[in-house]
Amino acid sequence: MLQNFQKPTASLFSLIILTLLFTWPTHAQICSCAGAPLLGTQSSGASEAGNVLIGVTYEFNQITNLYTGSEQITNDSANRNTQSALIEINYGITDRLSASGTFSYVRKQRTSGIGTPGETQTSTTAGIGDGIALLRYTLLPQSLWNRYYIAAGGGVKAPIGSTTLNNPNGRRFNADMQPGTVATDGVLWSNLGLNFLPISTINLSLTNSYRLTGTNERFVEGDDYRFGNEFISILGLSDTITDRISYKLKARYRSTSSDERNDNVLPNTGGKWITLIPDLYITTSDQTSIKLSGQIPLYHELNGLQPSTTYAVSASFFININSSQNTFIHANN
Amino acid sequence: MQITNLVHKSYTNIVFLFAAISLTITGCNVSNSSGSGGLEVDEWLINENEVMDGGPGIDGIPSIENPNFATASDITDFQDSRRVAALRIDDELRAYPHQIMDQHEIVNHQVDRRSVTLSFCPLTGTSIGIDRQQTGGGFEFGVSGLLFRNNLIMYDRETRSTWSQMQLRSVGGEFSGTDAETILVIETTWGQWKEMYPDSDAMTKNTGFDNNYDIFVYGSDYTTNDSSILFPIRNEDNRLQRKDRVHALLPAGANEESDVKAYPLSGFETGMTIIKDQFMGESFVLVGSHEIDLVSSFKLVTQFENNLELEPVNGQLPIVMRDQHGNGWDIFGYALEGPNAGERLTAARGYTGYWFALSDFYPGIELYQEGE
Repeated sequence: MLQNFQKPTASLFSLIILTLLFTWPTHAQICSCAGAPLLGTQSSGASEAGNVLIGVTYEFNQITNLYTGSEQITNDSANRNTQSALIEINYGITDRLSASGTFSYVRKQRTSGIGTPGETQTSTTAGIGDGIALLRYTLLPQSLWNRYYIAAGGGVKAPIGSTTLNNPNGRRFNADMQPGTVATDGVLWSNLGLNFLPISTINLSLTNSYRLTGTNERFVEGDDYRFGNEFISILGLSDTITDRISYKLKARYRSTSSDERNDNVLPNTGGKWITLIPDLYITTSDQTSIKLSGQIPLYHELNGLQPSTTYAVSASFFININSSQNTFIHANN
Repeated sequence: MQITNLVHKSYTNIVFLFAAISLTITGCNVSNSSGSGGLEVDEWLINENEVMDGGPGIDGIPSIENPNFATASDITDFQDSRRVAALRIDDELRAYPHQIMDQHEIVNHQVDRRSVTLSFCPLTGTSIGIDRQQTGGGFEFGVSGLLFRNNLIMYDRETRSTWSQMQLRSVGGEFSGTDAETILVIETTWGQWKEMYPDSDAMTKNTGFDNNYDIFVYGSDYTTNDSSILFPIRNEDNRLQRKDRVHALLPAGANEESDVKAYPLSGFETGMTIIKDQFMGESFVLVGSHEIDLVSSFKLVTQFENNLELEPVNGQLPIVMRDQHGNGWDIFGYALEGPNAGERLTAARGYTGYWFALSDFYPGIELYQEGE
């Protein structure tokens, strides 16, 4: 049955179906994560049988600008940043089926009162963030004879993060300062790839993910809070520069629906973002590679008035452990 | 065997790297928090467990100092249907559009050489004027970033005491228990205000901040949608709809147990209406109109005030009441014409806000019934 996908027409059909499947329109949500990455940082590959790909990422996300709709507002009174450490373990169960887990450690800092007559206040929280477990299946592997790559998967975002951090006076921080969200979310994921060998070493990819959020009792029992559903689509173009250096230029579209409290839409949550993400990959050995990445916001369309990412930078280190030792699975895939 | 060793070594290295990054960005604790410059209150006069971090942090919602004003009739960029808060000190009439107050909540400035703070809580729809000189010595107020039952908690920038806007008093810190000396504030629509007082001063969008004041920060239907409540209500009271607006009379030193009386705006007629009532053994008069979304209250203290026979006046704005002596009174209680022109009635200690907020703050709140 799966061999049928290797026919070019079937491949194209799969490509179209999956693209449609994971590109349905959504309404949207704030940076309720306050800059803590999870979905967008997943490596795009699905490991082959016995392979283990482990990646560690550090990301710094500066959140200074305020936006209303697509209009940027000069905000001199407050700023935030989020630092995250993520570890992703991707294991190939079979040549087509892989399992991955992403765990995070998050530090958030909020400084307010800048430019007003009073003192500034800086608050910091840090703790284990939520995690994601995914099963991914390669529907159509790329090969010398097949330029298409199709993989899809699903999983859960597990609410293992801290959500009860208090300030030094014992007062619970607002949800956007907590490392976790308390809610269990469903995650759908797909990755489509296309190469142009032997004409060119350029690869195109489209990675889509959708997070269907669960509810939590944010304040008190019976008081349901739900972060907005999140859709992320990343269109990437990658190529090699030298034998050991390659790049990937990505355009990321992120849309989140508004948060809801007791089924009522909350203002100043949800929106749409388009971000340019340049990645640089450096292969440091047969088993290891490094990724350096940045985020440059290109467009915002945010509901109400919200802070949003001014810029973000990240560095990742990947180790691939290949049981057969005859191929190296690049994190860039 | 080699593979096993490689896996083990790599795994160990990567976990070490993750742990090192995690510890570097946070220190050594698995889960922690810290802060500086916050408000350290040893003892609250309100239930501390209900004091919430609203999200933006202290002064994350920046107050306005020394705002700019222009003549109301010259301003064309506010929407007529949106509300303004307004106060009057002698001949100085000032209006503060909610469009701006939604994003700043506090204005510290001088009105007629008096240090005045106008505070507005968008979530509870309450506007309070404070004479700072009479309250504690002229300090400025800021937005603490904390909320109590959806309502703004202010802090003073001198002693960092916390002040509950709707309890009209300090609830923590050096000034704990001190009542705010309030100034009568009325609310109405911008269109109505311009009609009543075209020559008054209104705060302009030239605030010193680069904000867009045309948006609805809390949603375009927040003022009317009963379901749109951002934080939990502890004491739900179904005698009225949540977003019904009521005018409340409070005693000095009001707290959760205090006697408070509410007058629904819907209880006022379309035209100007006068309600004379007793509250805690004292006489009050309220004047308002449901149609123009306006109400004000006065405490009848002096013999002159108690002997007044006030009647509502329609079609002669800004005069809303007239007495048996021929005095015409405006919504701020100033006699604009007649033998007592220039005198003013004693303002009651009260304000207007959403029913859900008043009934949550004061669970025993008494609701005025027509014909009492």
